Amino acid sequence: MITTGDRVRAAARAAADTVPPDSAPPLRLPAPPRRRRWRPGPGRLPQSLTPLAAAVGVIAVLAASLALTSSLTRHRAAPRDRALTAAELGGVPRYYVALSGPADGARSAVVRATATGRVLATVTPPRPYGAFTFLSAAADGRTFVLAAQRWWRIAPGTRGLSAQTRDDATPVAFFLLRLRPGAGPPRLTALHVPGRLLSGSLSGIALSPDGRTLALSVRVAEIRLVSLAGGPAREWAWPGSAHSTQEWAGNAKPDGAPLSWTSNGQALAFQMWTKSGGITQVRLLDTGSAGGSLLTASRPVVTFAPVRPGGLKTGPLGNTLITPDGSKIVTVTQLAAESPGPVPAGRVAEFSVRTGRVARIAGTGRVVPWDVLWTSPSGRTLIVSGLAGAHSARSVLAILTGQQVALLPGAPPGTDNVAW
Amino acid sequence: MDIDFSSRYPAHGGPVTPGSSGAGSALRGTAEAGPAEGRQAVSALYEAHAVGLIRLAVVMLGDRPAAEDVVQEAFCGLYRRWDQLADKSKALSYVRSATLNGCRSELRHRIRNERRGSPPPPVTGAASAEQAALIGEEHHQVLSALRRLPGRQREALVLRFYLDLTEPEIATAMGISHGTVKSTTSRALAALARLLGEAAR
Repeated sequence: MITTGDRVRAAARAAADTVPPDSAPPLRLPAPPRRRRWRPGPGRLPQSLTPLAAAVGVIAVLAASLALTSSLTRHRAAPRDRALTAAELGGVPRYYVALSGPADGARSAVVRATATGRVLATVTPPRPYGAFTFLSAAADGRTFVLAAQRWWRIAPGTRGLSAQTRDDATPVAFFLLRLRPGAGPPRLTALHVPGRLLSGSLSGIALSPDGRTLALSVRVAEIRLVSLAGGPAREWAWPGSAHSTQEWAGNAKPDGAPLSWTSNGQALAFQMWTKSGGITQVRLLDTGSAGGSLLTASRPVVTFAPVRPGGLKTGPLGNTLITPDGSKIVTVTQLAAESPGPVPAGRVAEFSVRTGRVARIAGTGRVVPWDVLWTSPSGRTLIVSGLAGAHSARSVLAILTGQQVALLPGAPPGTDNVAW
Repeated sequence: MDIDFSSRYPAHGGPVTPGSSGAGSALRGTAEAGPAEGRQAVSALYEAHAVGLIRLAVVMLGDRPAAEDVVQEAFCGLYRRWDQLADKSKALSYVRSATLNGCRSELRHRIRNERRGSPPPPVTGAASAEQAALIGEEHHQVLSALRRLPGRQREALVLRFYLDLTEPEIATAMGISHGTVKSTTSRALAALARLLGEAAR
């Protein structure tokens, strides 16, 4: 029996069949849509909040007026941060991403303009993840990879470094963050990284300059390369268990960036630690090798001798970056030493990959350097974190170009987890 | 200026876990689109689905030029809102809803014109006598009766019996509840049967 529905179906299909396949007229799209400004938050306030916003605005204006008056009458204000010129920027990418928030709490990723420090966007990890823990950038200055994990509060009284206050038993998730200036807010997309990796096992990440490969420092004993286009991962492990020996491959202090790529993606610099002396070697891994022993697939390029037999090493305070051209290792030195030196303490030093000796000591002006965060292809321009101001109490980010120093305006305090 | 990474990752977005593929293959690989990529993605979606949507609009309106205009406008709307579309995989749902909205607006416009005394456009189910002949008298009667139904009932029947959508899908497309879909479809079938009975008599 033919139902009414059947009759509708047949009639509708007969009518539809009057439109032959491939008969659609060409699409006439309008001019490109007007570009939206980047804004970190929602565009409009709910109507109910408008009076409140107005009140807050009035209070803010009054407070600003009072502060300005006080400042002018009592003492001369400290020089304000100003936007950097193109010459001072020296080819530094226009945007950077910094992890923000307490080391033992929820951490978001804040996108800032390098020249002005202006916050362009704040990205929080999607649920159920509570904290971004590591980040790394490709060479285009627009593509970043973030690692995220769940986080739970450690019971009061628990002490230790931030590494110990993080949860260490939940899987790590990776996200691709794409900056789209002028085209919309940054976009966060989940990445599929093969293999289950627990948060306590990850001690650093480094995205290759072309954005195709993610290097993971795992259990401070392995380096794993994961192609973001899929395919099997390759692993190199330091012989023996990391914790049964006195040697660690990669940095166990997660605020650092223990891995660093050359621009051609053929070498990955990593740090060798000893439990007693910190970083003792910077080695180069041949990323074209098949995987296996990290010892045989890598070669030492800088070796830091002990200051005294059995004593502390002269090694870097934190990051050891290789310049993208592969010619130098850049770091902030920890202690003064003759080898591989002469190496002054607390200075930004560049070591020749070819000779392993100091090639240049960068001027830092009044900035007490703490870590090297970015390097230009040849190492001529660097970005460091450090302390400045009266009693060196103010955390700063600074661009070092030759012997010139320019402070980045609006840099967040105490930020080391930054990527350009 | 944004940088095109499309060559770095596979067409489906590579390592990026895409959402559901409701937009079909035409939209894959465009989840990170800027204006240029948005144009490309919308054009690809149009290539893949324009005929189907024009057919849907023809069934709703019985007028191919109007149907083409509605679909064109739906895709232009999609393009204008491309950056604001949080889940690009739902672009096809969006444009289908926009097409239905456009049909509704067109029908309202026609009703207003009729009330003002303007002659109604042909609602024969086709744009020409030849096409009308192709449809056949039986289908013509059904389509005429269908177009005498209130807009919402007509939409529900077209989505149910022409597109073979499920009730939840119809609810999403029409922006009404599941229960309303059931009752609207039931009333529409009853009304249509009555109209066809009258036509038979």
